[in-house]
Amino acid sequence: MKLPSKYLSNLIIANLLWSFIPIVVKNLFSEISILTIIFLRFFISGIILFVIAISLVFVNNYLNHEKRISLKELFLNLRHKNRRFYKIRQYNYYFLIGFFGIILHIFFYFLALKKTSIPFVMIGMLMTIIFISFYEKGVNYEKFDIFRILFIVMLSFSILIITFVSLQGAEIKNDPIELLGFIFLVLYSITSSFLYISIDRDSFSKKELLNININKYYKIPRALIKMAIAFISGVILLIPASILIAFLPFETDITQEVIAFFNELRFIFVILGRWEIIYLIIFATIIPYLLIFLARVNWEPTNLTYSQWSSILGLIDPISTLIFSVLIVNEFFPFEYLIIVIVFLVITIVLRYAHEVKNSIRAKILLKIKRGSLKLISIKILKFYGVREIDSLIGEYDLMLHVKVNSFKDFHYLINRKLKFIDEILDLKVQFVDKIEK
Amino acid sequence: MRAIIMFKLGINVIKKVIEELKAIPEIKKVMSLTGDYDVLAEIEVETSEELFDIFSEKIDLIDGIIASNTHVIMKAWEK
Repeated sequence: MKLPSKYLSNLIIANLLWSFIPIVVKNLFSEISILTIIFLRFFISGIILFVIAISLVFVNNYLNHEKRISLKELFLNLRHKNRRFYKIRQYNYYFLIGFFGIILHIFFYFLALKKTSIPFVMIGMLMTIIFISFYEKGVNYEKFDIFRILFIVMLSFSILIITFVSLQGAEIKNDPIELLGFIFLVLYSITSSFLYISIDRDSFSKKELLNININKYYKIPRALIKMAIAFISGVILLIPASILIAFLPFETDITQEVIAFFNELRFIFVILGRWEIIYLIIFATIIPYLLIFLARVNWEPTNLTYSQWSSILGLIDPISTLIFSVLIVNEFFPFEYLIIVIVFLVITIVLRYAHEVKNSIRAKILLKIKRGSLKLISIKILKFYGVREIDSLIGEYDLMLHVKVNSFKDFHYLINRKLKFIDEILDLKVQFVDKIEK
Repeated sequence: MRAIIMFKLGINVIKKVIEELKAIPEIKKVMSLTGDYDVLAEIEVETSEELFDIFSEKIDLIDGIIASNTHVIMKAWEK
């Protein structure tokens, strides 16, 4: 199999850089508010990513006169309606993923980290993968094949071992894991799942697609601007949200974080100079995102897509965090348990890879539909397992189903047990996809 | 406006036709198929007039295409 090795390494490096985050910030929590850390990381990173995006456009236009990127179009497209995300405008979509996805998931992650331990927080990452799997099963996007069931079992075992060891460590250190820490962890998993599900639901306008076809590097400034707007709008929305929390009649841990945040605003530039904050901005945000976008743009057609590799390699983050937390900051995690968890998580990566490789039958099914039933039938068919998208057509056929299933057995089931039972379908034609060329 | 065009091709021309289709900027997806048709292309244009122009000036001139079947996409649903 041909591997896009050069760009796979981008994903691996990005995940390794992210895995140092909890180690870098854990000791910072006693001195600086979580909100200040988040504010500085994303506000400054947002500005830098924005400047990089604009600079890349100028450099491209200077070096490449024939394939110029229009800055005006880049911004005008923010008003384009995102047909893959409730048809809201792109800028609203960026605000939503910025605040509810990026900012809140990191906020709950840091709160959980503050209340518990680094290994314990890794449970949140593993729970996120399980939540996403159940979501995909719930919307009939993916099926629980043997590989998927096994990797959920492996993840569950890893969660149990990490919980057991973390509770043991807390008892030895006489620093019990609070229930609140676990609640923050669950909230982190929920917001993190929202982020992973929604971040790829981006849609390109007609002009953008044309621009991408002319110059594939158009995607890089576009993605950088997307992240910059998401980061900056997320932290801006954090301020009214913090004020609201400060005025609530009851006091929580979050209230203390908010008060500390407003007090620290006076020393913001001093805090910005700390190496931990600089690491978060440069090595945990700017460089990983640049590596990821570069990989995405240059991804060569292989057995697996960029998104599939990205989800497989996402497990590198919790594995390396666990290892580094034991090696660097001496978190309690006996060696034998560490080996077991690492082996389990590596097996999970292999199972996930096997699942993605196996999940490989793609087809286009063309349907002729009885008059007057087009809309109802489309919505009904979309719920069937394997049907990813439906296009309503004008021409010889009325509908085209974009199908991706695990096996011919599943495909047979879709055709003969589902579609052929619908009276409104007059004719059905199957076209298997050999290769996606563009 | 989006449209899909399915092509029936002659013998031993699939690679050449795919390369020529990929070179058309308005075509955003190209895939090879097994079935009645050999290749499927998805095109994104502003108007039906533009679709006609691209078809008549670019696609129709590609040697090796025996027949094509065009459908305009009215609406799309996605999971």
